[in-house]
Amino acid sequence: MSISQNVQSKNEELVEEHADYLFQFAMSKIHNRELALDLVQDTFLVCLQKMDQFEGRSSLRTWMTTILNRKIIDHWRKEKRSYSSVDISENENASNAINSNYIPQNPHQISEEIEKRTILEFCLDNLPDAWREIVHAKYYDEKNGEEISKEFNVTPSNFWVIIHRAKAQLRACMDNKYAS
Amino acid sequence: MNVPHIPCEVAVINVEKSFWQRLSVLDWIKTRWHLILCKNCSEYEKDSKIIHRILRSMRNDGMHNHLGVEEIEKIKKALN
Repeated sequence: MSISQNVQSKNEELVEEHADYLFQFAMSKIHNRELALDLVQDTFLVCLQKMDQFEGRSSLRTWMTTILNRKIIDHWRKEKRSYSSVDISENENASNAINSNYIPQNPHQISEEIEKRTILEFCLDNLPDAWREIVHAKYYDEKNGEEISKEFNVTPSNFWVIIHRAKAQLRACMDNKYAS
Repeated sequence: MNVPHIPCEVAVINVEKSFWQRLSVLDWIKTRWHLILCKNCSEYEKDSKIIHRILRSMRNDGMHNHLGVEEIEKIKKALN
């Protein structure tokens, strides 16, 4: 195998290993498939150019994610300029908050949304294990109360109490994080 | 109108249920009435609704955000 073939093969391995993760990271922040793909592609190009600067103090994936994150922030900064005059009314915010399919439309909303998500993810990690698993089963696996009650050996009424207590703890945790 | 009073513990559970299922008419009226009178529960409903929406959107993102084979090949090509 020639040197160029060897390099190509290593690059492809890198893509196979990290592209999907980086793409999910980008999508969680920008909600635009085409743009996320472009940013991931740019990230790989930068990473390959700067590979000799990677010192190995973090994992390769963490280093790549940091570069991608910077690219996303650069993108928002560019977008922010064109959105700087956008005014969002209170009513629009209120109706958006109720709609579970709500996707933020401009950089201000996006950065707020990401901040909320980041804090919520942190707070979810701090829930008691059993509560977190029940929240995951309900929200991520979309199981119904009856299935979850059986799986976690709780009564249906206890299931709702746990959901409420988990939400109350998430709410308190988010309040604390915002306050700090 | 004489609406039966429900305690906060019941009202917040009904709030959680209402995100997923239709409450009976009586439960709905009792809960709404409670929320009008109780500022704490009303604030709880507002915040819980936001948490509910974010959790749902995180779930939706996770489901559709995987790269397809063609997209992976596109990235590989761009690097060569």
